[in-house]
Formats: sequence, structure tokens, C-alpha cells
Amino acid sequence: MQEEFDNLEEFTREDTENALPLGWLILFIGLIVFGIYYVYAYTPAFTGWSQEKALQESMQTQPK
Amino acid sequence: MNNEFHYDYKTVQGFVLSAIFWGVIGLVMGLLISAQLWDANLNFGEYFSYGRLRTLHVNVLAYGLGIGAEFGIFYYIVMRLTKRPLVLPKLARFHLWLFNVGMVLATLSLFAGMNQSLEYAEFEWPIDIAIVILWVLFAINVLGNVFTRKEKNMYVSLWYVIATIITVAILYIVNNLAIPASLTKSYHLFAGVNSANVEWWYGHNAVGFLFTTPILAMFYYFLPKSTGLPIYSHRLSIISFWSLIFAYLWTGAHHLVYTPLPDWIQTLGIAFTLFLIAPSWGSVVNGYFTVDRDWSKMRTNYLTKFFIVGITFYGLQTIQGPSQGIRVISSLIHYTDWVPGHVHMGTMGWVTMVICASVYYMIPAMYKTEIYSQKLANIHFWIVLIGQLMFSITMWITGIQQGAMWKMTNADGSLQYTFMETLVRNYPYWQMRTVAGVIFVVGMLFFVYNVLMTIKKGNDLAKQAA
Amino acid sequence: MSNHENSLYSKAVLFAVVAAVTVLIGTIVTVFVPMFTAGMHPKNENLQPFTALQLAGRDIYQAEGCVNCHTQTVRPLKADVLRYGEYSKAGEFAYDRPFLWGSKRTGPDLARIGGKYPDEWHIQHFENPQAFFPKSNMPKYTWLKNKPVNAPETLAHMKALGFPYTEEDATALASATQLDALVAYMQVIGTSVARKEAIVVDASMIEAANPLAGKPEAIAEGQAIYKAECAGCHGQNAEGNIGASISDYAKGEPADTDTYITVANGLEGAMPAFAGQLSKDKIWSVVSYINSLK
Repeated sequence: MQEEFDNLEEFTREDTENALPLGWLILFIGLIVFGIYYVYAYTPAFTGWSQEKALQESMQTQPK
Repeated sequence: MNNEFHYDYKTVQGFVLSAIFWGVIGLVMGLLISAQLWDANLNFGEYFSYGRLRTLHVNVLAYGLGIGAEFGIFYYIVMRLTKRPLVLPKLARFHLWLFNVGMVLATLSLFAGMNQSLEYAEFEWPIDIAIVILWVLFAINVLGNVFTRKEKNMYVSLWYVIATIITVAILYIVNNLAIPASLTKSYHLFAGVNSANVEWWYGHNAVGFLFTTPILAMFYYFLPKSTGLPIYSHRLSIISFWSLIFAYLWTGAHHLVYTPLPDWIQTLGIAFTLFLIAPSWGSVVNGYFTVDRDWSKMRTNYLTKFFIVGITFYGLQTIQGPSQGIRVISSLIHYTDWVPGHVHMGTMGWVTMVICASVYYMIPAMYKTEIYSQKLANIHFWIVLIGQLMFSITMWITGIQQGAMWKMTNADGSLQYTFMETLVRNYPYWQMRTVAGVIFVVGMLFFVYNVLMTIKKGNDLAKQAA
Repeated sequence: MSNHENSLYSKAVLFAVVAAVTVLIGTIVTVFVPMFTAGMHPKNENLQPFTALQLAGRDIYQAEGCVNCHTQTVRPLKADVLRYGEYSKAGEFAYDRPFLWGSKRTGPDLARIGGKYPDEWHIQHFENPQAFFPKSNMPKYTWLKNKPVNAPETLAHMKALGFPYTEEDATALASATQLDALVAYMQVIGTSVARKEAIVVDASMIEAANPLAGKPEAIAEGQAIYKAECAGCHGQNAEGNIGASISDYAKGEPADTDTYITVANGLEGAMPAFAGQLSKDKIWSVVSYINSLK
């Protein structure tokens, strides 16, 4: 009995030649832009932000 | 010709049945530990106390059910897509036996408390060596087939298979480097902050490359096979694949937000984690648009809904996960029951759903018959869906409640709740979670029965033919 | 896919190499490079390697899977600092192989457990956590007290880690139980950082007299808090256990403000501080309840 294997043609018909969906592409690029901003804003070497400083600020609002 | 192919399928079948066996054990353990959380009297001595059994639950399901199923399903997919039987079928058979012997020893070692206390890498070094050997045996056959394939191009699923094999090898070996102190004990080669950074680089990517990329390999193969609809956009497959495997390895530090790990590593981890929404949703969108050509497949083909609901939970998981990385959300839900809620949406809603659907497809194909009962498969689908949703939603609610109660302060600056007050408020939710777990397990038993009956049917047919 | 025919996707070896490089970039930047920088290997000046008994206890902590429910890292967040104490510093963990920060707080964080309670508290609490917190879900670790520490094995572990130990340590280890070891480990956790409560109360910060003195509802609330938080050490009926008898204490007619300050700030090494997790009204209620016992 001859075993059948898969032919790649069934996975790669012409109708798989679709462009990237626009909404998805906007998400993709948007997240890259946001990622760059986020790394800039929350890296101590760039902006001086640090989790320790953030704690000190939150403790100052502490009533005695 | 016949012999060789037949032999290969026997190994695939063996892995599927092994995975089912370990899966049932892991699920039952899960039910027990879920009840231990609301009634400490259900801890029975050292071998059946929560600390050991929770470790067991995670590892038996991850290694036994998850990876066991992946071994079998990958062998199947790889043979089909490379158009040739496995290069070393006897080695694959040995791989299957070693897997089960290893699982027995690994399970016993966790009962005995041999535990590195590294999440998803709890096994001590002798078991680690066995796991590396298993992986190498697996890689020899899979890569051997890929390198000597009879089909010129590699389909998307093979990309994910190759990435899985390479990345898991790197992750597992590096994180399990240890100073051996005796046969049953070793100490992480890395100390303190460094240990944490290595472990969560491993821990997060173990999830990524054992429960994301392999499941995507199945999704990209079995969705078109079940529906007859090829994946919508090849270009989207390409960009999703490369950006996913590139970005994943940067993100481990999101497990260490607000720890002593240097801020810059945390920040990079969070940024890349958010980015991961895009490649993840690339696969989600690709899946939806594939079935968008003909939504009637949801009715006419019983497997389609498994894949579509599975990829939907993958999509939800990959929005929820990155959100959890953001500092402000992490500060509320980290260390709470929100996280097990998140994990179980992934494992129950995405991983198990797609593995089950793949098995439903493969078993009749390998045994040359039809599924025993589509009706039972539909019942399985709805029960596990209800169980999983109930599980995750209760955990999210109690997680938010817990996180908020931990944070709330009085006007005089003191905390509003003691730890015990925050703990006891979990109990009703934890009881509900046990009920959800029972529902899920019942659903899974429908699956097991259906698979076993299909195998029986196939064997009976083969006997009649002979 | 005709236009892809001679692409990366038809060259398996090349594909595997490109995939490996792709996953290694993030790995190198965020894991391998930091590994070789000083910032990842800090050590507090007064941090000591574990003693043999402490290490044996840490081994048990790992074996029992304590990390499943207990974290060992206080986050630099107001609520964490109020509940557990000073937030965790990188230099505290230089001898932690592996780190045991954990990822789930089914039970409370343990980063500042060292010195918070006396040894006897831990001994009784491991035996029966529900005697301290009736609704606690922690398993009873009753077998630990009957099991000796495996001394030769522990010393082999000390050697593997390069931690120093003396002959006396080795002899002491031979007669220790697993419970002794686990308690010794509990008591050293987080002690390389000075104990610091986020709120320390002095007389100027509170009323001169108990505003809730004698009020029945305050006494009832105080009793409920006492049962939940204090009875484990001071006895269900205030008769005393690990801590002093509170009825005897009340009979000595202490000043309300002194009682308040003791509850709020605790006693070093003997009693935890409650100012961070009980409001002023709640502490005054406890004071009212204590007064009602005389």
C-alpha cells in the first residue's frame, strides 16, 4: 500500500499571495514606535527614571 | 515501503497515547492541588503536600502531555511535509521508550523532593541530562528528515519546528548549567540577580518555544488540512515568524518587574513584550482570514471550531500577557491568582485545544478510519470551553481583588487589610476553580474515550481486512 | 509560491543558521552580556555565606517546593514596603543559587522573615500553621521535626559551593533535625539589610489617651483582631505561649500609649510590628481589648 504524502501545492495555492492586512501593518509599526519611546522613557541612563526614585516619590505622599 | 511507513506511525501513535496517559495523571493532580488551596487538610504527608504536588502538576503536564504530544505530532507533520519516512525509525522508537522511562523517573524524583526550584526547570541534573538526550534523539530524526526531504520547499510548519528544536536546546542547556553537589542535588551555576535573569529568559521562552511555536506549527498544518483552505497570506506567515522568534528572546525580564534586576533590562523586556502582540496577532489574523473564505466550515467541519477558538485564545493570551508586563499592571496583578488564570487560558484554551484537534485529525488518518463520534468531539469541545472560561474568569476576578486588597491603604497611611484577610477572600473563588477544573477534566475524558474508541475501530477494520 | 523557489525556505541548513542567529541576538544583549558586568554580581558588605545548618534548611525549602507559594523579594512599591519592610536589594542574593524570588504569593513574602519572629514561633507554626491563623491554607510540616539532617550530604554541598565551615558546625549538624535547619534558614533570610519598618510610631504621633477606651464595639473588634493575629503567640485566652500572657500584662495596668506603641512597633526579634498593616483605630481597639482583660 503506497502511503500518500502532502503536496506543498495544496498549502501554497495562488490565493495565498495576499498582501499584509493594513490594520495589522499599522499595529506592527505602531508597536515598534511605542517600544522605542518606552525604552527611552524608562531607562535610567536616558531620562534618570528609576524604580527606586518612583518609590521615593510615592512614599512622600505618605501622611504621617 | 509499507513497513517503514507503518513503523513510523507506530511511534507517533505511541507518543499520542503516552501523552494522554501523562495528561490524565497531571490533570488529576491539578484537581487535588486546587482543593488543597482551600482546605489544608487535603495535604497528606510529605509526598502529597501542595509544595511537591504543584511542581508535579506543572511538570507532568508540560513535559508529559505537552512535549509528549509535540514529539508525536512533529514526527507526523515532518514525515508528511518532507515526503519521506523518518530517517532512523528505530531511533524514534527508542526515543518513545526513553521518554516514558524518563517521565516515570522524573515524576518519582519530584515526589521525592528533588527540586531545583527553578520554574519549568525543576528537575535535578540526572533528569536534565536525560531530557537533553531525548531532545537530541528527536532533533536527529526531525532535522535528518528536513535535510534529506523530498519536497524542495519547506512549509511554514517546518520553520516553526526547526526554530523550536534549536531554541529549546539553547535555553534548556544554559539554564540547567549547575554545580553538581551529589547525585540528587545541584546548585545553579548563576547566583542571585544573574540566576533570576537566566531563569526567566529560560522560563518565558520555554513557554514560547514549547507552547507557542510548536502549537503554531500544528495550527499552520492542520487548519489547512482539516478545512482544505490554505493559509490566507504567505507573506504574513513569513513576517510573523521572523518577528516572533526575534522578539521573544528579549522578553524574559517581564517576569522580574519591580525586582532588583537592573531597570534597563526590565524596560527592554517590557518593550519587546508589548511588541510581541504584533507577530502573535499576525498568526491570529492569518487564521481568521483563512477561514473567512468560507465560514460555513465552522459548521460542516467539526475541527474548524477547535482551531478558530484555539487561535482566538492565543490572541487573547498574547494581548493579556504583554499587558501584564507593563509596570502599572504588573504592580497590581503580579504574584496574585490572575497569573494562574492567564496561564490556564493559554494551556487549556490554546495549547490543549489545538493538540486535541490535531490528534482528532491524525488518529483517524493513521488508523485509516473515521473518527468514532463527531458528536462526542463536539461535547468535548463545549465542556472544556466552559471549564476553561470558568477557571480563567474566576482567577482573574480573585486576582484583581487580591492585588487591590494588598495595595489599599487607610487615611493614616497604614494598609487596610492583613495578609490573612486578603487570603480568605480567595477561598470561594478557589472552590469555584476546583469545580471548573472538574468540568474541564470531564471534557478531556470525552476526548480520551473518543480517541481510544477510534483506535479500536481502526484496529477492528484492519483485522477484518486481514 | 513559485517566486520563492530558490529562497531561504528551500535551504534547510541556511534557514537553521539564520533562525539560530535570530534567537541569539536578544539572548546575547539581555542575558549573556549582562552576565559579565559587575552590576549583575553585587554583594552587600555584611552578607555572609550560608552556614551548614542554614544551607541544609535552604535545601529543604527547595525540596518542599516552598517557592510555589512564597516569594522572597519585596518590590519597591509602597504597599509592599508597608507590609514586608525594606525593598529587596540586588546585593542580598550573592550566595543564592538559585535565586528563590518566586512568582506567586499564595502565602506572604518571606524576604524579611529573618528576625521577624522568635525561633519558637517558626517551630510551632511549621507544626501547625492553623494554630496561628485558623484559616491558613499552609500544609502542616509535621515530619520535619522527626527527620535528621543528612550531615555528610550537607557538608558535601558546602564544599561544592565553597562555603566555609568549622568542625563544630559539622558536629552540631549531626544532631540537628530538618526543622532546626529550616528555622535557621528562615532566620537568616534578608538579614544583610537592616530591618526598617515603613511606619515607626512614637508618642507624638498618637493621642495621649485611647479614644476608644471601654467602648464595647471596639473591644469586640479588638478581640477579633487578637484572635486572628495575636492568639498564636499570646494564647487563645491571652494566657501566653511563645509571647507573654496578655492577661498578666493587663493586670499590671500599663499606659495605653505604651501598649499602642508596642503593638505598632513590635519588639526586636520577638514580636513583629503592626503599624504598617493595622490602622490607628484597629490598634486602639486591640488596646481596648487588652485593657478589658484585667
